[in-house]
Amino acid sequence: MPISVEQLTEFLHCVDREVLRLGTREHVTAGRILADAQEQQLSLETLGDSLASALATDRDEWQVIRRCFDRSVTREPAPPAPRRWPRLAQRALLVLLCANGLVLALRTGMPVQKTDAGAEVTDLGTAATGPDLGPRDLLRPPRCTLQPLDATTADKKSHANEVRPPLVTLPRKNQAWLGAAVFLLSFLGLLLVRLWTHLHARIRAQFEALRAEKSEREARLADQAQQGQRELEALELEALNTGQAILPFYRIELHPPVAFEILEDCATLLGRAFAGERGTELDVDATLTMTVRAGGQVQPVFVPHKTVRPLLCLCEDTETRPYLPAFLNLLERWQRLGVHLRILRFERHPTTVREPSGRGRPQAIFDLLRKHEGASLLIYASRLTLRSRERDLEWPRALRQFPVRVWLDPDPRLPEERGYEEQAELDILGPQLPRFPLTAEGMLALCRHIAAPAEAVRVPAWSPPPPLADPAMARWVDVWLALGAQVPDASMEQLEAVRQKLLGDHLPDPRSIARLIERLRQMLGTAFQPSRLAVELVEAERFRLLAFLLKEEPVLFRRGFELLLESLGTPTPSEKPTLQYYAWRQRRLWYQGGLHLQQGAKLLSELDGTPMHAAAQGAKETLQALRSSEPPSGPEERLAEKARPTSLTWKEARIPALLAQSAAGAAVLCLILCGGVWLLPQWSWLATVLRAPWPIRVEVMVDRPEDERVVCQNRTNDPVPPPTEEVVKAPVPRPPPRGPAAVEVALRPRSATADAGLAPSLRDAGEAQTAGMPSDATVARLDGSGDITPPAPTRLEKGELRPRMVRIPAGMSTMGTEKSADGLRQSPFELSETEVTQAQYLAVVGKNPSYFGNRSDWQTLPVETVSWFDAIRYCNMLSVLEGLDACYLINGKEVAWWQNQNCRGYRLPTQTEWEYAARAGQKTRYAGSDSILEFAWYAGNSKNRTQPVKQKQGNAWHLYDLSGNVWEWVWDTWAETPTTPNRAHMDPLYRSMLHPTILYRALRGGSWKSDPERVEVASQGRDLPDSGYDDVGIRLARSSP
Amino acid sequence: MSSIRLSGLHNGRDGARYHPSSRLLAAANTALLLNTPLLLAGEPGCGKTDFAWYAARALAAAQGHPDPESVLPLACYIRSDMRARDLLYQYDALARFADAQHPPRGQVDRAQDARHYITLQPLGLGLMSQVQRVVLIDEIDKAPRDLPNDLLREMDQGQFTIPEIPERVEAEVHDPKDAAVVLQREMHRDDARTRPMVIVTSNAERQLPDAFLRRCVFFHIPFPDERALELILRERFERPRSPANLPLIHDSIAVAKALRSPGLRLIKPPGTAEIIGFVAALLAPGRDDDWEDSLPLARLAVLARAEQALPWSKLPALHCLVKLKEDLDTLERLGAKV
Repeated sequence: MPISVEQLTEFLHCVDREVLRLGTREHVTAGRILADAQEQQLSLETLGDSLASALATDRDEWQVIRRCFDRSVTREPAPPAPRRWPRLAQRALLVLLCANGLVLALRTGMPVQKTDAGAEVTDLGTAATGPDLGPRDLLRPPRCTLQPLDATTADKKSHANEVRPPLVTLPRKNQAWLGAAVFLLSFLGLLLVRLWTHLHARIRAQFEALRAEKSEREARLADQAQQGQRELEALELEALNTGQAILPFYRIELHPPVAFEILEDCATLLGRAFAGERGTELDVDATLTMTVRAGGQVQPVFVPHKTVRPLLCLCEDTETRPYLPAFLNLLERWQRLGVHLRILRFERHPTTVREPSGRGRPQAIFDLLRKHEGASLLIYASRLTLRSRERDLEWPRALRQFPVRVWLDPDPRLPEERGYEEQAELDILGPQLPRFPLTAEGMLALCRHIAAPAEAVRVPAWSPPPPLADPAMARWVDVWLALGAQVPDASMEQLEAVRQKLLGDHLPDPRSIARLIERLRQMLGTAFQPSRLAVELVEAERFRLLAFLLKEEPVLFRRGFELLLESLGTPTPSEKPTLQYYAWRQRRLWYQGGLHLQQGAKLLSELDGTPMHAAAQGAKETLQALRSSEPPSGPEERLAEKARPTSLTWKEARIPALLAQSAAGAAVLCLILCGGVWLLPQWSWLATVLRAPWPIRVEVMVDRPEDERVVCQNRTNDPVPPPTEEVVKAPVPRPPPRGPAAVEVALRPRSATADAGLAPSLRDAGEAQTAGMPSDATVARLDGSGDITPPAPTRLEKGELRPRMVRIPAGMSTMGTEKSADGLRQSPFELSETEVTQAQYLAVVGKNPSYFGNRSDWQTLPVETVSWFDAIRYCNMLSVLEGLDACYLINGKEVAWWQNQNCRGYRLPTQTEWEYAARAGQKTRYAGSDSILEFAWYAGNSKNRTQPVKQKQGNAWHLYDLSGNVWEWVWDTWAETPTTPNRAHMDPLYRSMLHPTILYRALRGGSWKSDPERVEVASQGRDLPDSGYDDVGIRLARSSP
Repeated sequence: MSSIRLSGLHNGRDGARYHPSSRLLAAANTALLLNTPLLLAGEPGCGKTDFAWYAARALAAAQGHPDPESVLPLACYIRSDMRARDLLYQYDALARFADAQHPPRGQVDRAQDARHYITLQPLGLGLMSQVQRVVLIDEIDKAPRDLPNDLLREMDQGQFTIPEIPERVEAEVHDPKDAAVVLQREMHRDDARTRPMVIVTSNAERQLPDAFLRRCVFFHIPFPDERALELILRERFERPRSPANLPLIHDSIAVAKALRSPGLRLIKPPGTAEIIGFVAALLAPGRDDDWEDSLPLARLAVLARAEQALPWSKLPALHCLVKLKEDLDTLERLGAKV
């Protein structure tokens, strides 16, 4: 930005005036800096900093000079001279006139008419007739005498003929007095007027200065904002141009498309691909034999020398791009397993090949042949075209010189299905280039062929995945696409990763991606270009897909969302509105709202009044953080860079309209985020993320008719509705109206009831009530969450997702053995009646890791082989599914509370809670009794397997299988003696920060494998949080509201 | 007119990335443009000296050096008995005397030539270097008062005299450190473009002579704000893909900020270097037991963020942050009230 000569002069004057005398040297310096800044096109900020640094000699001077610069650069043109107040002048003139008029009137002895308006003049006149007329009386205000003057002239005209005697006649001496007084008076009046104008001008100047300062500040802010915006744009442009760096945080790990065992087998086979060469060592026996056979002439025979044949992989990277990432991943694994590989790529046909990085000169296939003599050739392409210029068609001849050559074809279509031209090409190439499909069998056959080309390996039958016409296939492809649409970076590899992670059971074939592309072609028509490497959906499509997903596959939808959350799990930097905080929020908006950074900045600034420049700064920081966070390394990631989404559409036009609406609805801000519908179940979560201090309303209005609009109020700010009175039908007297208290009474431990001396019949009644009591409906209502749970997916019954929750009353807990039994106050909470079963786990998570998962009664068996992290994740997902706030913040291997232990969602019990619940107020060895056989499954009675839940008797609070069956994860870290809560025990976060590696989590309750001692209530196990065994399961807890 | 500008991120002294503020960069570029020394002031531990390393590397990168991160600045550390000459060259009279008494074998008349006993020192080397280098003059306020004034001429004109060398000499003798430099009585280079970038650091601003100050580009490095501090700490303690230490870093910043708050009136509030040391101490593996009687940092940080009084004596590794007995006493007193 240029700075004018006037501005520079002004600046130098300011410095000269306020800081130090400037000499020639300083002037020259300033000139040079200015010239340099103009040449380099530096910003004003930098120029100011430079000048200040060059001229200052200490810190205070630096700041003064900097302020001088700001002032002189942003100085406005001089304001126009303040206009005079005509009224004032008028008034002054009036006073003068009055005075003169009066003097004149008195001198000439002109008759003064008595009028209504001139009452005071009459007074003056009568007063003047009095004997003691003094100047003090004449000091009565002269201001009102204009009217009498006018009146007198008017009267003079109208009553010209009337003759009247003079009313007042004053002696000469008094006239002189009066004249002097009036003169003095008018002089004083003038002075007053003068003073008034002066003061007014002063005030006005101050006001002007204030206004100038304000506008200067505004201008500076605007300048900063503009600069921030410019820098932001430049950054984005640069990143786009260089194709570098902005890597979205959201990345799912991509695996090779075939099972690991097959991969290993293939690697073994490829490692066996030897080439025989003539060695240097003489094979003595053979030489002798040959010599003898040749009649004495020496016939040397050398021992053949075996070398590993390198594998040359040529990958086509235009049409096959959708398949390529997975395949490259596979090659990388092979490389890691020790296969000697060289990867190159080509376009259309392998006449010339390039390095995968794209750098370096392209090489002709013949050169390649010379360089890698004896190598095996693996061509990875869906089509090898033969339609080209003459000299480009020599490559099939070159291929023939490779001893072993194979073609791996990722296209799932049958040869008959392909076009005429392609079939012709296949006919020509077929004899010299055996073609294998990209399936497990295909890969194995291919490797066998490379390892032993002499054995005629049969090419496996070509079996494509079902066509898109198949309704099941179509549905799963749609689900896949919808899941992919949740991903901000819907590149092919991310879609493939989504398939591997979530849809492995339904779309096992790695070539399914062809179906996805078909579907996209159907959907988008010509707008779809597979070469773009990323699927960019317009908002309407995305919305439609998400709505479909929410309806059809809510579980998968949640899982996709969970996956997204998991990989977005950056911790909140701080609550205070620092730049970093803005950056963090923008990142969130970017991913979850699909907003581009600039749009995010804009939205933020409009939503909560974040200054635009701060928001832009935040966005800039985000960009920088993104750029510096993950330097690209592998070929996979380099591919991913280019697959970055360029922009996501956001209906900007809607924002002002919404904001206008919000103004009407007083402090209700409307937030509209891409689809809208997909946010509803996660609404509470969104409120947590944005930490909105205002009540938010989400309106879904995109392309929806009036009646379908959904409005969702920010739930966290609503008062919790009082628990409904849901009285249990029981033959006992009506319990007190408050639900929780009723449950507490009902759930009082049996021993306590007995102590209270109640009759057995009453006790039975109590038991009956207890048995009927903690049904899901009641618990849900009692905890007050039943009414405000957002509409849960209809297909899922709550009971399927988790065991029933039992409310545990408050009391004093004891930990460990009797000796160290120290009381701790335990507040009421809820614990699940049984361990989580496999069916329940499957319904929430979508997979069943259990070792005993293939038994006929698997549904009722407790889930096992779950790690502590799995358990945590299950709790979170369950909370989200039920519309509760998730308890845990998961960030890779770091787990923390979102808020604290008293969260609304599901969680793991703590050690204390577990033990308290297990003891149920009694002092038994096992949960419920001292005899193990009726109460627990352990090594002695479990028949070496897990047993269906709830088969043994429960304890006093009707909790089952606390002892035995499977170990149960608890939240706490493992400590030698659970009885003494040490620091690390109380604060696992702290411990995990210091020793992230040796953190054990505690296990309670023993399992089907355990000896009787391990099944005791007081016993404790431990394990690493990321390992799961076939005797470790989950029991849920939830804090009572 | 110089078109070379310092920019980008480069490593500081300890190999971690140095993040200069845009203002600091503007000042440094001005110094480079004007060919004047850059005078850096600021609290101890705010990265004054480190900047020289950064500047050396950024300069090398701007000059197209193949491996800029390996470049070091020419550093002089000022002692209180230094003279201006000691920054330019060193004349080893003692060795010459010894050689004159017992000439080394084969070099009987070595002691005849004074040039064998002259070694150029960092500033001299920088002035004579073929490429533009960065010369660091560290803690100039420790030097005798005359030293800065004595340096003015050399730095202004880029030449100096070595009176020990006679006016007429035969053959060329090269400097032992930089073989390209020929030693002679009047040392000068005509090329103003290779004049070194001199970075002078000072802890006390006001003790320097005015003439010197007016010839310098001055910049005061402020204590980094929260954001910059986080950047610095993350640079050092966060491995690229695991933000595991992040909560600890945030907590440390919160606690340090509380320690620096003017309400505490510490004589020596912790600087950047102290905070880095503090985080390093907390992250050192297996030191859990050292802080047996202290509270977890996360908990203290919560108090600090809420701007409440902290039990300071319970802070782990407090000795890394607070270095004065008086300050410790102050904290003890304040902590006892909590």
